[in-house]
Amino acid sequence: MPRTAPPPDQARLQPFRLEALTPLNHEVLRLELSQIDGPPLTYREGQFVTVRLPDGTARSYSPAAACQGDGRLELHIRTLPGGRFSTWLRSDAGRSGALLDIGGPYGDCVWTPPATAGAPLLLLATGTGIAPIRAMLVRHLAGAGRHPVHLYWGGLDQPDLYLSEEFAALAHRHAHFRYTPVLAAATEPWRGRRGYVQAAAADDLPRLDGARVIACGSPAMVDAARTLLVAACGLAPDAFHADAFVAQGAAPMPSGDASLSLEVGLPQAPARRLAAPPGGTVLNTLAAAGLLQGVCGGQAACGTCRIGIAPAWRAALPPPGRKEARLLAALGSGPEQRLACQICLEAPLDGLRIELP
Amino acid sequence: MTTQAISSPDQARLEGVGPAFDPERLLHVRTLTRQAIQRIAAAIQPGMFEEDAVEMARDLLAEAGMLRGWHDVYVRFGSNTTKTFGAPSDPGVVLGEDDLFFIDIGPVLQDWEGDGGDSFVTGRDPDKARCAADARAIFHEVRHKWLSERATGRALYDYAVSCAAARGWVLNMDLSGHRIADFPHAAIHEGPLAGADFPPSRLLWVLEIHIRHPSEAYGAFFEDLLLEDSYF
Repeated sequence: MPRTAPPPDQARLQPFRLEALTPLNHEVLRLELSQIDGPPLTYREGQFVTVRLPDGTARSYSPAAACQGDGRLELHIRTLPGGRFSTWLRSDAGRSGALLDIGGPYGDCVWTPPATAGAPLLLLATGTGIAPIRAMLVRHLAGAGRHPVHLYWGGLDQPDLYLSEEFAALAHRHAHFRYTPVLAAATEPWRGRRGYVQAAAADDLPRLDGARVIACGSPAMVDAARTLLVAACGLAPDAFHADAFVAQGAAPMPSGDASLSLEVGLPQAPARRLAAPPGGTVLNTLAAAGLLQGVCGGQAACGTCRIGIAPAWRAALPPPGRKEARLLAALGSGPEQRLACQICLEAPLDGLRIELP
Repeated sequence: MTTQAISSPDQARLEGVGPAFDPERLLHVRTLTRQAIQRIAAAIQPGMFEEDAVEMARDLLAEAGMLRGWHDVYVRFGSNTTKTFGAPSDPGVVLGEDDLFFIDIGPVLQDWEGDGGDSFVTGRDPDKARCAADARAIFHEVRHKWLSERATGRALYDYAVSCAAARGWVLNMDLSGHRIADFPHAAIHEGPLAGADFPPSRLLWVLEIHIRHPSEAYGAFFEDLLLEDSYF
C-alpha cells in the first residue's frame, strides 16, 4: 500500500529493475523487481521499502512476498488517477526493464504472535494493505500452529479482494487459519460478510484479551479497529499493531541500523565481533564480512553455511524448522550445528557467539 | 533481456574445474539426478498441494542421499510453472486433473554437482502436453545446433528464442544455462551460458529451456547437460 515516504537516504538506495508488471484487478498492479547489484536487500515480512521514481518522487510499499534474500521484490500497487507512480507506470517509461532506486527496509509492523498460548492472532487488512499480511502469512503461517490465525480482508466489491482464492486455499490447508472476506458495497450476489472488517472481527471474536492484532490498510480502518477492539473486545492497547505512521501521519524512523553484535569464533584466528543489522540472517552478516559465502541463496539446501553455536546460546535459538533439520540430519550434524542462513538476528540474540568450521 | 558477452579468450578460465573434477563421477550424478526426477514425478498426483510435493521430493532425495543441493528443490504446479528460477511460488496451488508441473533439482553428491529438470502433465489437455513436450524438443533442437555447428552460447540462446517462438511459446531468458562442475561451480563462473561468445565444451554446461504460454498462466521446463546424442 502507498505510504508517506521516509526522508530519502541516498546511502540506502539500491538499483532495481522492473521485471514484470501484472494487473491483479482493475486497479492493482503487481510489480516484480530484481536487484541489479549490491548485497541483496533483506526485510522482515511486514516492513516496507521506499521506491524512488526517476523524477525523484518517493513512494513506500510493503513487499507482498516472503523475503528470500535473493534481491527480488514483489509489490502490489493500487493505481490512482493522476497519481505520480500510477502515471509513470502507465507511461512508456514504466515498462519491464525500467530501473528504480529502492531503499529500506523500514518499519516494525511485523508478525508478532500473542504472548498467551492459544490466544488468537487477528489480521485485518483493507485494499493493498493485504500485501504485508500475505508476506507474513507465507513466512509464518505454517509455524504458527499454537495460535489460531484469523484474517479479515475488506474491500468494496469482490474484484477488490484479488487474492481471495489464495487465502481460501491456505485456509483449506491449515486448520488453524481462517479467512473471512468482507465487502462494504457488494453489487453482485454475495453470500459472504458485509460491512467493515473490524466490525466483522468484533462480532466473531468478542473476547480478545490475550490476543494480538495486526492491522494494515486505510487510516480510517486502523483507527476504527483500534478503538472498537480495545473498547468492545478487551484487547490490550499495546497488543494492537499497525504501521505507526498510517495512524499518526508521521514518517517512521528507518530501522535496520547495525545495532546488534555477532561474535564469531574462527578456527585459526582471534574471534571477531561483527555489527549485525536486526532482521537479517547470520549468513548475511558473515557474508558481508567476507567470512562465509553461501551457495544456494539462503534456501537451506547446500549446507555450506553450517556453523557451530556456542553452548550458552543454543537454548536461545528457535529450534530448526523441518527443512533445516532435515538437511542438518542429512549432513550428519551434531546438536551444536545450525545453518547460518536460517538464523534471523533479533534483539534477544544480541551478542550471539558462533563458531566457524 | 540483454546478456553481457563473454569473449573466447575467457573460455579457458570460465571452463575451469576444481580439484575434484571427475567426468565419470559427474555423469554418474547426472544419471542419479534424472532417475530422481522420474521418481518424484511418479509420486505426484492431482489434488496435491505444491508445498506437499516439494516436501515429498525432499524426502525422496533425502532417502537417496541426495538432499544436499547447490540450489533448492523446485516442484512447480499450474500457474507457478511460469515462475522464474528462485522466485517464490504462490502458495496453496493444487495440481489439477488436466494440469502441468515441473521439477528442478540440483543435488550435490560428495564433491559433484547434478542439475536436471523436466515437465509432466496430468490428464489430457493437449496444449499443456504439447508445452511439456516442446520444452524437451527445444532442448534437443538447441543441443543439435551445438553439436552440428559448434555454435556459441549466445547463438544457442538466440536460436532457442526462435525455436520457442516457432512453436508458439515465449522463452524465459532468465534461465539461460550455466556452468556445472565439481561443487561449487559458482566459485568458477556464475554467469549464463547465453552470455558465452564461444562454443561451450561438453559436460561443463547445463542447457536450460523454460518456455511459457504467451498469454495463459502455464509453462514448462527442461534442462540437462550439453552432451552428445548417445547420452539421451
